Amino acid sequence: MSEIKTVTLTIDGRQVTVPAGTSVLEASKVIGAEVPHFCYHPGLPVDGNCRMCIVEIDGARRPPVSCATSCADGMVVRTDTAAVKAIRASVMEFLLVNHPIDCPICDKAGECMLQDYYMQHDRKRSELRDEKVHKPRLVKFSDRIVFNGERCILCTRCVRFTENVTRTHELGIVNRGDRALVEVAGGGSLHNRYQDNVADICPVGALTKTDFRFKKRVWFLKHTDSICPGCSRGCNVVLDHDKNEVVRVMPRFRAEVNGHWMCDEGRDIHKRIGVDRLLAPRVKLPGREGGATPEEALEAVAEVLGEARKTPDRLAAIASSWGTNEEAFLFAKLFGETLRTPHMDVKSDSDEGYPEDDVLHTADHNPNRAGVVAQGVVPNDKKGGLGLAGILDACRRGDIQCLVVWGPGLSGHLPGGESELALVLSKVARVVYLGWKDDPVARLAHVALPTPAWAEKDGSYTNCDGIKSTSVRALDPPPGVRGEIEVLADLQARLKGRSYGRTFRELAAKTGAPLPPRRPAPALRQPSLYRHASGVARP
Amino acid sequence: MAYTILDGHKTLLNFPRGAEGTWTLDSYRTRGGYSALEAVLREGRYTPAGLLDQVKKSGLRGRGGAGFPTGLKWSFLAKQRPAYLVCNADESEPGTFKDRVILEENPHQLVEGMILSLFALEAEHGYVYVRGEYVHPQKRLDAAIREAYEAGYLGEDVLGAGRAYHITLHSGAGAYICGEETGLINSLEGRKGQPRLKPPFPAVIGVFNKPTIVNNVETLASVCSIAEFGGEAYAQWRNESGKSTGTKLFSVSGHVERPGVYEVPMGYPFKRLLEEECGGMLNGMPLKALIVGGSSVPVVDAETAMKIDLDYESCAAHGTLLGSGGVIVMGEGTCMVRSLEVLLRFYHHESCGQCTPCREGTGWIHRIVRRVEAGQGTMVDLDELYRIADNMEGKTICTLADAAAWPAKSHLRVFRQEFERHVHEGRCPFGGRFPDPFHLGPQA
Ligand SMILES: Cc1cc2nc3c(=O)[nH]c(=O)nc-3n(C[C@H](O)[C@H](O)[C@H](O)COP(=O)(O)O)c2cc1C
Ligand code: SF4
Ligand code: SF4
Ligand code: SF4
Repeated sequence: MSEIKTVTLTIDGRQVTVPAGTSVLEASKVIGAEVPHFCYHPGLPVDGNCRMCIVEIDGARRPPVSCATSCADGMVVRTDTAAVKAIRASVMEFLLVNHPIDCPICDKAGECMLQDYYMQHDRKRSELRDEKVHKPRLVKFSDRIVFNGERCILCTRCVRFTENVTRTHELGIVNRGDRALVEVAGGGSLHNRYQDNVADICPVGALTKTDFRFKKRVWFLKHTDSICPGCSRGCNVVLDHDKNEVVRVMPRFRAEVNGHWMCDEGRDIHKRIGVDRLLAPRVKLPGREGGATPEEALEAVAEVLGEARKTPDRLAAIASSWGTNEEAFLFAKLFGETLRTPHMDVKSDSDEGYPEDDVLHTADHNPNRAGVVAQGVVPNDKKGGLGLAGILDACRRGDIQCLVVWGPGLSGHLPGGESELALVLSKVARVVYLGWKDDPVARLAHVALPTPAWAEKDGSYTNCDGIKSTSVRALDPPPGVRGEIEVLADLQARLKGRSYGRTFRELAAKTGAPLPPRRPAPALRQPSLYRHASGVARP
Repeated sequence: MAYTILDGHKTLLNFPRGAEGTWTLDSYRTRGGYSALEAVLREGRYTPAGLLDQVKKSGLRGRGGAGFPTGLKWSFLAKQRPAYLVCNADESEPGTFKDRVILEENPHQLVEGMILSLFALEAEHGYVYVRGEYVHPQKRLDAAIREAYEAGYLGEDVLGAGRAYHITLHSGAGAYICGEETGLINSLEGRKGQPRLKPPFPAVIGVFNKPTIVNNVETLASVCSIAEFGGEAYAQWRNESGKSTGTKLFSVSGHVERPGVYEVPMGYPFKRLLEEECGGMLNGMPLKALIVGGSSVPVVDAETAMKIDLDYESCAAHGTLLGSGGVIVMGEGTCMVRSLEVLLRFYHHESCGQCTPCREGTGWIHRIVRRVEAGQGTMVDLDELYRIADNMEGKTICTLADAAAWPAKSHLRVFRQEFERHVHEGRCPFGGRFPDPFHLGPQA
């Protein structure tokens, strides 16, 4: 076992042991006495320009910046002396001297580091008698990002982001001194796929997102830990929502998944929730045609499946790659164990979105293919089980009597698209659809049951690297819509299968889902101090 | 001639001032030029370590402003190769124009000094980063480098000694901050000229991520005398404490009869420089104030000025710094508020803008002083000015912020009454002008 070398130092009289190479600033977080800072960001190279994180270190000639100072054995650091406090207050004063202080009309208000630190470290009234420096205020960096030069504190976080994370180098600082200004190189616009991150990491309201500008005061937002289903990276995110509507998607730090970042497709993913929704069940069985209550529809599905279990060889089940691990677990049990079909596979629900890149985005536009497979949704080879292509061929030949399709996108697997789908399904006696989208299958199926979108249910997902993340229900599903876990558990009961549990928490023990911390009841936010809007410690 | 006190020794201004052609190889050779290099390379007078030792013994301290012992700096150079030597010829500080004389009138001595330094540092390649506005000095230096290549002092096999030495001239583009050594390195690499965080120091990670020594023009040119006569001989010019050695160039401007660049030994009394070399005050006017080491150092009043010896220790004892040796002499009738306004205009314009206190502070104090000079200041402004300047000091990436704060604080401290008169009278008592000692262009 290779030992990680550690060093032990004293910060404000408390001993702390950290891996060698840790900065004093990071070490201060360990003991919960985080040194205030603007330009430092743990996901970016150190620049040391804001001068806010200056501390005293015994033996140092000048008080150094803690972001750029590595911990050493026996080092004695003081972060709370009168001298250090005076330095912070003076840095705040310098930052504010030319700042417009237009918090009342600034989207960042409530989660602005400048605002928070002012309350903590300065609290001085303005004594300025001279005109402030004026700079361009409404510069469109791109369709997504708007820049306000007067609010900018020139921390270069955004510049370092385009230099080191996307490596697209669009941003730079032009001019010197108090005329310095962030600009897009060559007068163009931002063109990377990770633009919204620059607005997140901007410590002030200099960079704002077109999509969020003037939409909502951040203290009205509720924050729910979720994941982005846009691709198999499964970025950990926070859904910021109010009145049962997602207003903003923010990345949630997860070192082994997405680090501090997420892509712009993920920022807009919540907009898919309301589009093409299947809102009510549909039943097209002889004698049962027309509108049905959810209860009646579920009964119809149970009836169809009860019939199908007599010839399990002619039953096939296709699972959603947007389903959660817990749902997939029940799906595999219901069809493999209770109904004993050998024909089970997972399909792509979506092929919409950005292509693969070398930052985060993967080529698979579905969040949980790996997890669904791992829960046992696979063809039963021993019994000659068919995979997706085989199932579709068998349908075409008329060999399948009952087909269950979970989630949208089946037509994407047929070269002829929707018209071929109609042809194939016309050969199947009973088609059952479960899903949140009003997919062509939903229109052709004999029974179609609406389900919640990912933001409307709890569940865990396994990403392209096999890492599990849990997503918590942020929104209420449309009225009457029940989650897959409930539906599958109900069918399992009706079909006399074993009971495995009917809630996410019961099933999480079986799938190994990381349990999300229970959040305290949302209260009106105080000035956020060191906390990010999401309640996650802010970088 | 100023340098006559050093007659018989090879120093920096070892030629009759104003003479034609001193910048050519021929002229330099008649003054014994390149003899030290030949002795080192052909006759093996020193090993590299031996020459470095001589530089240590000489007590030579950096002439770029900070006065850091050169031999000590060289000994910090990391062992990896390639390593680079960079000559800082960005000389842009108001009042400082001493390197210019070397570049224009004695460029070969810089070239020889650099080759000797490359030898001592066991490096091959040197860069000279010359201030962009120094068009004429650049031409002279460029010609000297070409001559040196032709004469075999530079090239793949210098003087048949089997060693390669190269020097590349690089022109700046007009930013004072590119004189700060790490700003210079960024600029030399083609990046925005703004200082880097230290550590790592250039001696470990410098230009092109390689170990680098940055030295001032005058520092490197002085290495010739050390190689020629030995470190101890060089150190015979010393002040009382012995901590300032050798000769130093002073560029004198302002209200004196004969402004110009003078070479005197360390410890030379300012009074003597003023009266003998410079021919006294202009038209016999009384001395009012002195900035002894370039615009960044604290100003002193006439009484203090007359007690100053030109060396690091005496300057420090009198509340100022030797700096780069840019002597600015101000006579009675000079408005000290205006003097400060002009200085702060410069620092406001030249701050690179990375560090919060410098970026915002230089402009802030400049605006206040401009208002006080215009007769629109208040007594609170004066206290604020001092407080803000004090807050700028000692917490930034480079020392430009300090260089702006020191003149501000010292002007206020030494000439407080004059600032108060501006407030009380609601106008500049000197009519908003001074007897034009230096000319810095239109109001920013
Ligand atoms: C703002 C600023 C400007 C500077 N400008 C110059 C300059 O023009 N020439 C120079 O030699 N040193 C200048 N320096 C000092 C250099 O950073 C460095 O200390 C010097 O080049 C080292 O050479 P020396 O040891 O030979 O003095 C400047 C420093 C600062 C902070
Ligand atoms: S726009 Fe924001 S992130 Fe970029 S430099 Fe300015 S304050 Fe920093
Ligand atoms: S990279 Fe993939 S998972 Fe992450 S935000 Fe983008 S689409 Fe969503
Ligand atoms: S002190 Fe001023 S000039 Fe120096 S790095 Fe900081 S902002 Fe730039």
